Amino acid sequence: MVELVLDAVTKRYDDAQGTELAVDEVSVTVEDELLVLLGPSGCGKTTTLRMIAGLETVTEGRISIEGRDVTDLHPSERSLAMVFQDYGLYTTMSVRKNMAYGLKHSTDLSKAERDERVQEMAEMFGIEALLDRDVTDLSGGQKQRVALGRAMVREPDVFLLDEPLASLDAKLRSEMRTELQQLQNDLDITTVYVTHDQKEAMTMADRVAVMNDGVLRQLGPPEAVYENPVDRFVADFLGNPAMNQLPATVDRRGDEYVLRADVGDGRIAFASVPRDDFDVRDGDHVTVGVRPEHLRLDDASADFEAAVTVSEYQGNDNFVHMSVGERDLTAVVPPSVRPAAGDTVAVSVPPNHIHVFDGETGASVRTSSESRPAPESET
Amino acid sequence: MQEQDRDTRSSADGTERPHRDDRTPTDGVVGEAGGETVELSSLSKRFGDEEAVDGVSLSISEGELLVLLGPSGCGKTTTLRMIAGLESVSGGSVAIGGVDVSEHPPQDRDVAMVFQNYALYPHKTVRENIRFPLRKTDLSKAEQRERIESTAALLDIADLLDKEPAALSGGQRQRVAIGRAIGREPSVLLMDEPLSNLDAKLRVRTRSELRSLQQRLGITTVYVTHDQEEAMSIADRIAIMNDGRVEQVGTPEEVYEDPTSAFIAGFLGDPSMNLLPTSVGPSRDGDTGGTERGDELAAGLAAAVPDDAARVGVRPEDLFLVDGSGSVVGDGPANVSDVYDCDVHVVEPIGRAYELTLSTAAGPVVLRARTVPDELRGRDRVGVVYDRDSLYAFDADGGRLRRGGNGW
Amino acid sequence: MISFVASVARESVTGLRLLRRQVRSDTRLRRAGFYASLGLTLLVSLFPFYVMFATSITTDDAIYVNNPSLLPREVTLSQYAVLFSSETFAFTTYFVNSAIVATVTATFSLFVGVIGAYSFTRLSYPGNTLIRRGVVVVYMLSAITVVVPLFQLIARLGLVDTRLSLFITYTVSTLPLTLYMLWNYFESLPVAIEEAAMLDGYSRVETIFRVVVPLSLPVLVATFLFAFKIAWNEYIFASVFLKSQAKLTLPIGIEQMNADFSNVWGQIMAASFLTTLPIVVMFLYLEKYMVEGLTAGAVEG
Repeated sequence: MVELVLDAVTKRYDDAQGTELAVDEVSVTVEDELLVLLGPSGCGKTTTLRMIAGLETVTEGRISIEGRDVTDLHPSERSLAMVFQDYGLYTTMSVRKNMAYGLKHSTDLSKAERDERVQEMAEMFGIEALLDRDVTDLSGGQKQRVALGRAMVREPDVFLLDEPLASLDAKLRSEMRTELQQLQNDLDITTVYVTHDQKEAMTMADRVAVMNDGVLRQLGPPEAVYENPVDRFVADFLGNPAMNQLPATVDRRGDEYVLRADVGDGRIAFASVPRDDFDVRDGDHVTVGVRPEHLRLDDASADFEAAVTVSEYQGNDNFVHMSVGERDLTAVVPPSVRPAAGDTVAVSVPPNHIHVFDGETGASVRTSSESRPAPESET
Repeated sequence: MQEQDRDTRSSADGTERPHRDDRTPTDGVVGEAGGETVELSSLSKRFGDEEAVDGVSLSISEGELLVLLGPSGCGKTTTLRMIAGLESVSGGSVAIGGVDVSEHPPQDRDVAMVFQNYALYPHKTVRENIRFPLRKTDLSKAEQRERIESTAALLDIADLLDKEPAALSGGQRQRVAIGRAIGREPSVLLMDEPLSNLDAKLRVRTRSELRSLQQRLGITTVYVTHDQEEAMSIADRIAIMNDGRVEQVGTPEEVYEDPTSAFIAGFLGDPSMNLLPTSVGPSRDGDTGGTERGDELAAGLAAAVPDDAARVGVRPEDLFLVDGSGSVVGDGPANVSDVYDCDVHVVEPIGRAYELTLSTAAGPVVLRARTVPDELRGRDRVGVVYDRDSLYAFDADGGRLRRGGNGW
Repeated sequence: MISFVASVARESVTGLRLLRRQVRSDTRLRRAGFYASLGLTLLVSLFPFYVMFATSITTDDAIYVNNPSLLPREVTLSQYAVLFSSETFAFTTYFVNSAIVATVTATFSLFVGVIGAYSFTRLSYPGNTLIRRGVVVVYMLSAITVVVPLFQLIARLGLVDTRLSLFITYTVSTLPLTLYMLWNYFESLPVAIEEAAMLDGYSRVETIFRVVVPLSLPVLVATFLFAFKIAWNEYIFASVFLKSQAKLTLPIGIEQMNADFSNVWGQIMAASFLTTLPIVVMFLYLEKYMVEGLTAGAVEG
């Protein structure tokens, strides 16, 4: 049971050009889980991680591990381990030395105990055969395993990972992803994981913290964030292909709101939603969003028609790119639905999967998330 | 066709050369570029003792987009560079528009290339970058200007023309690189991992734009990538390379649905096909204890293919969950197998679907489901069926064993 | 290697930061020590230049006293006036000669350097590596060791007392540096840009001059300056190869002044100052290109 608490942690850089707010009052508690810090480059996620590690000073706010305030402590006194994107291995040493190096300097274990720990950890990562090899002779995946082994061998309270899979190719990345998940499950260690890859975040995180411009935008289990994004940024960032978003006007029709999307050369009735679900008024300008996988092209009750521009076969899915007026829409449909480029398709939009965002602030105007409960992601 | 005839004619001294001057259209309008055929015959490349490309033969027709797909080091980039003339040919030949260009320098082949890192001229503005190749055509100044404008309009970069590459975003640089390549309307467009420097989302957006542009221009394109999703999305045909050889050529549907080898089957698809050894679980005699044969998914799959199969393959989307009432979740297949109880190892939501990793006697098996019913969430064990019509069998060398007329 | 350095750097940076926190008290002392050593270095390197300049604006009377002062009591330009009006000392001729020799040498060295360095980095041909190593070895040799054989060669070619002898020897002696600087820079240029140019319809030679050269402008400027400086300051070859007054370069001229006349230190210093000036002005003016060029050449990518 290790609790890592960030309390209004802020990082400001002062330089000749003025002050830059890199991280703006981020507060989060991580406890025996894998928290993913997710966001585009420059959003402050790496700075946050480096502040936890002690590699950056904290401008304001406190960081504590297990109730112990570590804000001003040296990295080596924080009981944490970090894995870097470029592995950060000592290239002049063998794998064994790499793994034992930290132990030698941060613990008072005997040589025999250290060897035993290294051996144990090497077995865990399947690198025992590589122990006496030079680090430079290893492949990317092997290097990453060594880096992980080196970090874990010290049995840290908190484990920090900075885009650890970014330098690996796609196949290896998905293998290592599964392995890391497995490892985190087994060890149950408090982990903070930085990535810009939303698929990595979705699949690995117990909870995901989406950051943008130094601000923590949303925190929650990946599926909950995916299903109920709090604003347009989060909606757009999570999910690939990205959520379709169109400007629209609210038109009250009895118990329903009809969302009339502006498609450049006119308006179409994009979707009808129950009035109670959204905090909007007749005539409001909003952004209506729907995920590509929720659009249907084979339904009789079509809402509008669209012209197919490109149809992308994926084997287990088809990505259908369409245009409606001057707007582009993307649908993800089963492989059995195969419209060709140039075809006109009837698109239907299921009302229970509609997102509505404020026209100005971009914040979600859904009244409650109860209408579409966010499932827990545990198994 | 007409252009091809002109190009294949022999000149008086008997040498054949495609002359750019012969084929530069004079109208200055992008959109009628057209393309030439590309014919690779037993194309080979040796680096020292290493056979980087080993007898590659491919015919690419006019206006086609062919993707060379394969893992790193498979020879796809070397093949592309031989078509470009950036790499000499060790054996075989490259013909463009029916003319053997194997010995021609790059500048005489009338091919254009989009590089992975874009390779823009950093000291030139966008306008000058696009103009650079046009200077080598016989277009007049005015025609060049017109061509630059029309290319920029086509790629939506008209407002960037006076900027320098350093001031552009990755996506914008990529467009400029494409603009520079198509501006002079080459016979063949070569693309070397053009999207790999873009982030995942932009990549998906850009590739569909690229595809629709290529179709509009009708330009013969050879496209190199290691990303199977990109290949499937964009290709007319895919040539999958491994160890310097082409293993299979076909439309995305053909190579996905009818792979000729275990390598291809495992390379295509996300998540990729489950390939399980048939020598798992209780022996075929059923004499080792524990689970009966057939109760276990891997053993059940192994039993469903002929005895000479070393591996059985099933795609994650051809495995289906069974709900509490015993009915298959989602659009089930026509030919459903028995129900197998499986341990759920990991459930990964990827947004548009779920990937479940199941533990079986033969190792992890991935199942892909569009939805997971609430009643199955959080369960450690779930019922699973497979589509009997969608099993693949491979021999010990990875070769595909085909189903006969009625069964294996 | 890089990742090792990076990790070491990372650790030492955190270490430093921590150290700084602990030793905040004696920060002022450290800073004082830093400026003291900086001042000393500057003093040692700039003092000779100061003496040169100060002497050149001092009257002869004030130079030849028993305890010369560091500050000229009376500022005069008479030394410069003598320098330019003197019948016996042809300062202007020497200056022009030096300028011609240095400019021609640097231009030629740069041209050959571009072609040579490009071939080293982009073309594979037998002997490439050998020639490269040879260049580095030649660079290590000092001029004095080759001056006798070179003189024999120049004499046999009948080039003694010609400017051509200097063009040839200076080009040859600056080439190793030129080649070295340029090939390091060319290696950092992405090949794909040149390949793009070739696919855009340009031959290799056109590619060199239309793409590589414009891209290398900073390092070309730096290389030109270094070659220019070497030729401008060169003494040994010039003193051996040249005879007639009309062809002498500045270093030889100044040396002769010292040998032929006595008590002309004021004029010697004035001449020396005027010799140094063009180089300093050029370096100051082109410094921004040079720094850019040098780092761009040194850092991969």
